[in-house]
Amino acid sequence: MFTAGKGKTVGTHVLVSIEGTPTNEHLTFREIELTTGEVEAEALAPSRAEHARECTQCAEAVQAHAQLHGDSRTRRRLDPPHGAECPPPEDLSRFLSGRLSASEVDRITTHLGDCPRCSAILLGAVDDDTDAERRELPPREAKQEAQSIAAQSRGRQDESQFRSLSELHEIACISRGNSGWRPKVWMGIAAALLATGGIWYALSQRNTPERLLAAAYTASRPFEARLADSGYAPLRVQRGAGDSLRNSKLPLREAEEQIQAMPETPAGMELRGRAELLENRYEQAIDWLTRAVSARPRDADALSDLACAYLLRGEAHQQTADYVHATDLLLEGAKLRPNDSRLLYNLALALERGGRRAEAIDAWKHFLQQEKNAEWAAEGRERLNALERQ
Amino acid sequence: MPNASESILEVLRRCLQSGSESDWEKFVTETKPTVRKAIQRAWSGCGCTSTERLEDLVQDVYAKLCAKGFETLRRISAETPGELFSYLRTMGSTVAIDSIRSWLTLKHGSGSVHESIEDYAQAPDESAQAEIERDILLQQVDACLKRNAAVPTRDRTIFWMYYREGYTTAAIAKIKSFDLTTHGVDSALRRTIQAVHNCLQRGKGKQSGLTS
Repeated sequence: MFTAGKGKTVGTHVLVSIEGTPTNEHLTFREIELTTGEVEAEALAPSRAEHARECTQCAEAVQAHAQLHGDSRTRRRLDPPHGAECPPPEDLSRFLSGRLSASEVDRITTHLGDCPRCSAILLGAVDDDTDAERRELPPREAKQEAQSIAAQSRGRQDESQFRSLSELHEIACISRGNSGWRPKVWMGIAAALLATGGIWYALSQRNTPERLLAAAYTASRPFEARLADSGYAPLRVQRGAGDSLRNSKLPLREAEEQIQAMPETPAGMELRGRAELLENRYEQAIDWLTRAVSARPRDADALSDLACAYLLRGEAHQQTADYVHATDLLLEGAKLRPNDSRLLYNLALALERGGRRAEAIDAWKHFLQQEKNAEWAAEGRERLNALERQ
Repeated sequence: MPNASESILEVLRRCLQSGSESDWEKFVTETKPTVRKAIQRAWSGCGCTSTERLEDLVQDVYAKLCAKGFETLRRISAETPGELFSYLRTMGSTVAIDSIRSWLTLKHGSGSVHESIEDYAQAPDESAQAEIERDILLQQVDACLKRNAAVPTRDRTIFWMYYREGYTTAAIAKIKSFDLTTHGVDSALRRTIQAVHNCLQRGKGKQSGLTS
């Protein structure tokens, strides 16, 4: 006996949904995932959703999954359990590639169940895309690195590689503004790292608030509008409200600490506003960014960020006036930087939100002409397509 | 790909024998993208995308590979190319995760936690309470899983990999020691989630029995 909707029994026939899954079968784990909306662009088939509602066992499983899913998945603690001895990387690697004896597999499986550190290491080591890993390196980098290793392997450790602390300090400071490979100091830094008790390490940890905020945005883009980023940032679905490593709180916290120590210059106010935006505090963001724009009315970044704050408030309170204000600010910014793809993205979004469909379509097209990043462009294209279908 | 992989061990062996720059150059060209990507994957979990830091960590990995007279590399050179790349990924990930742990320790004053009285001045907000509740829930769940003999250790580990560490089912299926397909991982999670629900329901039943 199978049930097709409330109170309706259809003999002993297996009812097959349009998607081909028999409606009487329990949900698979994949389908349970779909019920919590965690797999973007996919939804549970209506017939299966109905089964989820009708079947007590599946409803329980969905409930348990939703309860656990929330933040638990994002709250990563990285320390091993007290007193536990973590297996060396070699063993983890062999575990990954299935080259351990049964007893060793049992030992490491048990350990992984309790050790967030080793689980996190293994996650980073899982081979997800072998072909992409094999892309060619610029020969220059490889050459410089090879020189360092070769020098060491021959036992000819060039004294110039081992630099004084002050030189290392200088290198570390320079490296913060230069993403290129640092030739020759490669082994020197490694040696000095040991010799100086982590001073270099501490120095290299520093990052400017701008970069930290960009990293925080990329890691956890909490809204559709674009801020300065450090790479494409897919929109994240909020899973609960707790702090987490995964949702970028670390760089955001560090940025906030640094910003707190900054004087109230226009640049400082702009950064404060951006940090408030990332915390979803749009009122405070509007306050800081308005002051920044008043002090520097031709600062396109500040104009764009302020527009983002209005967009957020507009969404929260369904205020069309905020969308209009955001659009004005972005048009102003676009005059200053007509080819800035971030600004153009936000402008298209503001026009779309404000219900100005035709202008939004033009803006998305213009954005697509300027955007160099394929992923941002793909997102823009999706939005354009959706708008054109309306 | 197989041809390129086969030759990487020969290159490594030549590097270890002769130490010529051109051989090391080949080795680095072949292996650095793997190391870099593993670090990126591990770091992305905490929102760090700094290119400078990434390069620093890549250097740390190679420093470790070269340590003790290339001891590890010598051992790995007798393995398969797949094992070499798997090891490089694991080393990259280890260095990245441990650097995050060190960073957290530095942030919190070498392990000692300084708490301000101001932190206690405000009542905990909803998210903090939700976190505490979730911590308790997770402890209960783990106790359930450990008690339940019907849940194998492997399934418990898979369960935590999924819910605590954010593995996808496809990523878990790539761990060969589990010997499971993605479908197998799905099934294991499905069974475990039902067991967890039953266990928690029994716990609730006992609680209400006590209070009534």
